[in-house]
Amino acid sequence: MADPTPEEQEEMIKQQCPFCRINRKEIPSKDVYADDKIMAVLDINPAAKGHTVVFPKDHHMLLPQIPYETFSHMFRKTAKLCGVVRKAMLAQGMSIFIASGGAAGQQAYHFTMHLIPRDKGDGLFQSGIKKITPEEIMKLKAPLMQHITARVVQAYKQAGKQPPNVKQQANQEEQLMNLLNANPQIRDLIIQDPEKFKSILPQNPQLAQLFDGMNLEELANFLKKKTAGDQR
Amino acid sequence: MTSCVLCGIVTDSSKAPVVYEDDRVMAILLEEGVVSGHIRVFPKKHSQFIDEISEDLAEHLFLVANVSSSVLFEALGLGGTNIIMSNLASDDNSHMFIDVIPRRQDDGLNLQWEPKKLPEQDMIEAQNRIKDAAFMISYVAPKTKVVNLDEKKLPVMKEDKDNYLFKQLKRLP
Repeated sequence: MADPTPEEQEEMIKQQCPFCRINRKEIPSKDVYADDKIMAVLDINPAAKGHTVVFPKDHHMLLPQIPYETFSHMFRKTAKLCGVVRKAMLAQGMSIFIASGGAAGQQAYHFTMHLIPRDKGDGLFQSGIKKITPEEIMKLKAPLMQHITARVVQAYKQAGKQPPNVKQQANQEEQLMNLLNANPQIRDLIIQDPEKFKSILPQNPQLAQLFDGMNLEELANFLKKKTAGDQR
Repeated sequence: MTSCVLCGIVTDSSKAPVVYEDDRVMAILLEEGVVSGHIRVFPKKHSQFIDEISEDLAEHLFLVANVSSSVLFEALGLGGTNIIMSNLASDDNSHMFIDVIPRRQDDGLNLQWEPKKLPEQDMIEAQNRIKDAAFMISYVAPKTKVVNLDEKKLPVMKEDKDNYLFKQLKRLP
C-alpha cells in the first residue's frame, strides 16, 4: 500500500482526534459554550469544579498555527468566558493555562486552553522561583526584544490590521546614553580611541550587546560634538 | 495604585528588562522567575480580571504572549512553553499578567494539576451554571427600529363631509 499523502494523514488525524470527535458529537461531552469557530466543554478530569476546556473547532495542533481570524475570536470570547466561569462557580480567581509541546505537558494533538476556577491556597501552578543572573538577562533581552517586536508588528500586518505603536529604538538609544552618562570613562575612551574600545568589547558581553552593529567612528564624532556643545 | 509593582514598571521602564512595549501592553523578563527566559506580559492600565478589560486588549495581550512564546521556543531551542494567566484573590486587586514559561524535557517543573474525578452530579451542576450564563457571550442585541417623531408625519384629519367622526359632531339632538 502506498504511503498516505500529507492531506490523507491530516484527514486520518482529524478522524481520530478526540476534540474533533467531540465537535462532531461522536464523543459525548458536557458542553458549556459553542459558536461557529470555538467550543468549550467541561474537563472530564478537572483540577477544580467548573474547569473548562476551550478549543477551536478546526483542527490545529499549536497556537501559532491558528489563523488570525480564529485566534482573535477565540481570545475575545475566552476573556468573556473566563468571567462567566468565575462568577458562575463563585471562584476567587481564574487561571488560563496553555501548554505547547510535550515538554510543557501538552497531551492532545489539538490545541486546547484550560480555564480553571481558582481559590486561595489551592496550590496550583506553584513552582519554585529562582534568581536569574544579570548576565542571563542581558544576553536574552536585546535579541528577544528585537524579535518579539518585529513579529508582533508582522502578525498585525499579515492580518491586514494597523500594527500597535511599538517602542524599541528609543529604548536602546536611551539605554546607551544612560550608560555613557553614568560612565564618563567609557565615553572618553570612545571619543579618544574608538579602535581600542572596539578591541575591548568582546571581553564584556553586556557592552558588546549594547554596541552590537553600531558604527563606533560615527558615535565618537557624535559624542565629540555633543561634549563640545555641553562645554560651551 | 502606587504600591503596584507592574504599575511602577509602566511608569519607569528602566526598573525591569523590557522585551516588548507599545501603547497598551508591556512584556518584561523576570529577574526572579521559574526559569531563565520567563517572560511576563501585562496591560499598562491596572486591571485585575481579563473579563474586565476590552476584548480587543485581551486579544492583544494573548497575541504578544503567543509571539513571545514562539520567539523563546526558537531562540532557546525549547521543548515547549506554557502560557499561564492567573488572577487570584479578588480582595487584593492585583495587576493581571500572563506568564510565558520556557520548558525543556525533564526540567523538573511541576505546572500540571492533579486530575480529579468529580461526582456526575457536581459535573452536571457546574455545566448548568456555566452554560446558563455563557450563552450571553455571543448574544447580539437585535437592532431596534427607532422612530423619529419629529420626522414622522402624523395623519392630519381634514373636515370631510363623509367622515362619520365629523358627521356625528354635527348631528342635531
